[in-house]
Amino acid sequence: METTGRIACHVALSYGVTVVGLALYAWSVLRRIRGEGEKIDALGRQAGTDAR
Amino acid sequence: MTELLRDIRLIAAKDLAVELRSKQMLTAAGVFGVLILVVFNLGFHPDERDPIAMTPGVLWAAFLFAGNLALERSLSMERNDGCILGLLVSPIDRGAIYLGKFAANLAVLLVVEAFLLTLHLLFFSMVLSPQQWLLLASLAFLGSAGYVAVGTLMTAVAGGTGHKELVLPLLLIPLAAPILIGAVRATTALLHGAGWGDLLFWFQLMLAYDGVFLTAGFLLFEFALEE
Amino acid sequence: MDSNPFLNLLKRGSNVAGSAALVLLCVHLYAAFFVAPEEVVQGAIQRIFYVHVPAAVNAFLAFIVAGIGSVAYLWNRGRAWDATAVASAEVGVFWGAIVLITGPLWAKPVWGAWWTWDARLTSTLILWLTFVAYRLVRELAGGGEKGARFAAILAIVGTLNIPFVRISTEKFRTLHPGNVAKAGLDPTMHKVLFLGMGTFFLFTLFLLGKRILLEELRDRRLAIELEGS
Repeated sequence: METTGRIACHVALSYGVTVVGLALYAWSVLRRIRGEGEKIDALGRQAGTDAR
Repeated sequence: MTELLRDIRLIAAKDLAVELRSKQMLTAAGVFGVLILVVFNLGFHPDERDPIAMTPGVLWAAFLFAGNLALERSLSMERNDGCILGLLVSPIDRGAIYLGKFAANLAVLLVVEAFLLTLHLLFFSMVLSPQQWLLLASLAFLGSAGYVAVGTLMTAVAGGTGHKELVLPLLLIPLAAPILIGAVRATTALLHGAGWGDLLFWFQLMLAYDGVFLTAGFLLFEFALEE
Repeated sequence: MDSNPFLNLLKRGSNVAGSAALVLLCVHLYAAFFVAPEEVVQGAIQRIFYVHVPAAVNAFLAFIVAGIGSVAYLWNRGRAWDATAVASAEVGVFWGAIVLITGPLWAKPVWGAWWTWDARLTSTLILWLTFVAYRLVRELAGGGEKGARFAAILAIVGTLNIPFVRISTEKFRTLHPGNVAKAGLDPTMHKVLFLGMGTFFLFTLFLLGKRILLEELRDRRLAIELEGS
């Protein structure tokens, strides 16, 4: 059996990877959504200028 | 029904006739399979290798990778010369095209496997009993049928990406994992003298696999052919 | 704010699921460390179980949804089905990665090896590879209708493969604490486990909703760009 410190480290890593992973993945999706939104807005503005 | 069978036979005969003339799949897969056997033989010191322990893994690795190469050639043949268009405008059901190609690919792979098996037995100076031959042949048939059933469909998918040499093994090897596991376990058992009854579980698993994926290929192949 | 009711529902639904998931995550983390009793044989390392198993359940669920979405897409060619399939394949790969990382972290102290080709881990790895390839097929086929179609075929075949992979790896070899261990599980442990599954399921819903929304927005942007050029 491993030492307590080693085990605590494995448990902490597991929970850390899960929580940080979730945060990073969610953040990347939300950021891409915002990016697409901004691009659509920019295209809309450009279309407005072109029309004028 | 008779029409479907006739179409399947037509497609299979066409593919086999082309293959007999060019021998592209046979040579590519055969030579590659031999290379795999040689690599495994060189990878272990002759004094330290255990034929019974090594045979299942070496043999099925050679079968799967040789099959991968054969399947890849089978599609480039159609794509290169635009033959696929000819097939698509013909009044043949897409499912029949799939089953015909499946039959032709399976026939080619079984020939290659028979050759590789003989060579392997020579390399390891092994002798199989008649029952072992029969069991191994049934395993090779059922296993290869499942592999080619998935493989024929996946070559069409991989072909659609335009990087089929790269993509095909990535798709095929994980999908064929149950076949590989079953074949290796059953081969190990039969080399240790197991009979039909002991291998029943793996035969059933492979039969089910073959049935499910042949049906899936029959139904899904048309979506892979649309342009 | 948005004219499309589907997108509105998606936005609001995923926000609700996301907020609930965040709250439940705090509860779950507390429960996993302070409510669930210490396992007698394994000790503290067993607490990894409360993220590992819920992640595995959600990964398989997402793969199955990807398969169903793909069947529906080939059936009626609705872009929303394809978006569902892409989104759940990606979410499944995410949960699968969590399973494949936490599994070895648990196995090393308990079994003495990071990777043991145990049945459950092997089957997760195999299916995970299939859905990584799904992503690759889409990208190499150049996106659009063609990539969607080819990827859908792969997702369906991959989903059909799930039972075969499970059965064959189970028979191949297993060291996994399986159904027997679960039946003898302490009731409190069971509750914490279900809390974890529920929490992660809400995250799955949140991620799915946002990811589908992203697909829809991308489509809309591409349509505007096409119109402009």
